[in-house]
Amino acid sequence: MNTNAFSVDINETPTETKLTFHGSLSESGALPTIPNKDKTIVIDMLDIKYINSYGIKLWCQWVSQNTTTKLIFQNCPFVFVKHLSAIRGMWTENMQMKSFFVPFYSEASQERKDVLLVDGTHFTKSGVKEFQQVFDSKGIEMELDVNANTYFEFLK
Amino acid sequence: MIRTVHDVYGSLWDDEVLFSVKKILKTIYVVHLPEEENLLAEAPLYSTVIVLKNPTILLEATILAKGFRHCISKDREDFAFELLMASLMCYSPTILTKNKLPFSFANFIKEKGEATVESPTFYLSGSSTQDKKKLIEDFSEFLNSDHRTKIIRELAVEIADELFSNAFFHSGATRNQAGELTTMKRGDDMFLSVEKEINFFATIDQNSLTIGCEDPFGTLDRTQLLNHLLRSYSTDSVSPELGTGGTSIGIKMVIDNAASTYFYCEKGKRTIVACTLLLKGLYQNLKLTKHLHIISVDN
Repeated sequence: MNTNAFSVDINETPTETKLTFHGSLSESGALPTIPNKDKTIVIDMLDIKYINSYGIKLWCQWVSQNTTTKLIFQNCPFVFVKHLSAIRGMWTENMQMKSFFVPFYSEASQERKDVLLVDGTHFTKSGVKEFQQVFDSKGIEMELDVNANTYFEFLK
Repeated sequence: MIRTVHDVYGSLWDDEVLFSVKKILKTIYVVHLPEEENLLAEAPLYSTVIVLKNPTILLEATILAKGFRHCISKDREDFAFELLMASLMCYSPTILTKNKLPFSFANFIKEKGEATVESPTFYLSGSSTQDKKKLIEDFSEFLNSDHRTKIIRELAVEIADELFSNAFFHSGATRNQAGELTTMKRGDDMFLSVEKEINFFATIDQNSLTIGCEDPFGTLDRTQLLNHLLRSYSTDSVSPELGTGGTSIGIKMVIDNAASTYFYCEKGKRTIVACTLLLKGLYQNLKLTKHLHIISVDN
């Protein structure tokens, strides 16, 4: 089974449509047509593996076709968030972030931990409130493993 | 007065390394920018390494557009390694494919009867764009086999994807008789004959992961590439080109994900695009100061 193949699960409730993305978004993938643009769309990105340049193009085209729909994102991994500030058209005003991952690294143990930041608890629209301390398996404090100046810029 | 790499940095390497490369380092010049800008005019283009403090890619591309081949960032931890690589490439540009020293890419390019591989190595030949699925699956497995490369796997997989696609869609396979790129849909399947297949390689050493892709066409245009980089890095953010062709952001994604990027073209023979990623987490690779090498050799 190709675990990188892109797919989307769609679940409808009376008030919202939930899209769960899987795999990697590339030229072989296709983003879904939103059935009802009046409903809020909740997109779970937890299982996204990576996005290549063509996937970014697909994403930007899809976003530009859905500017009037409220899009709420949750569990966004590093591979998605890292593009949000670097690519124009990836993140637009009708989007809202509920939760996203931030990688931390310990040079001593050579460990990485991706920590989930949640809207209201860890960040607001004006940025990250305060970084929690993150420790590796040896109890050593880990360091933020992205450029804070660019990674969180989409929040503002 | 312009100084040699040996004069300025001879003490960077241990005696064993220095003994084997001393003669070479005495023939390669180094210019530090901005403080030695007045030396640029007299610096030989092909045998000078430009060393910069906290350079942007835009600045490096501007310098390379003057004809130089190697821009090295002094503030990175891998400065000594990169300076040595650049010096060796100045001495012999084909070192990327022919040299047998462990710090060149030669170990990973399959020349018949020449493989001398000690580090964990990944190799895949592709004659179809459909081979990318297998490449990504197998390469992900390779990265997951070492906890240090597993940490940076997303960066490496993105690079692999872009290099492999570019090797197909920007190579001689998509050029007309005048050498111009013809527009192909990225979703289309493309097939090459076996003798024209694309070779993808990767290896893990003590400090770094090297990833590269070689095509047998040698059509990389140095000037076009540099103009593209100058455009891409002159703004804080970029947007993909619309339509069904390329996106124009792929090579920027490659450079942004890696600590070092090498473009090497033997006209009409081969193009190699390769990257080095440090095995020290994501940020050491994502940070904005990079090493950049662009070498084009006419045969």
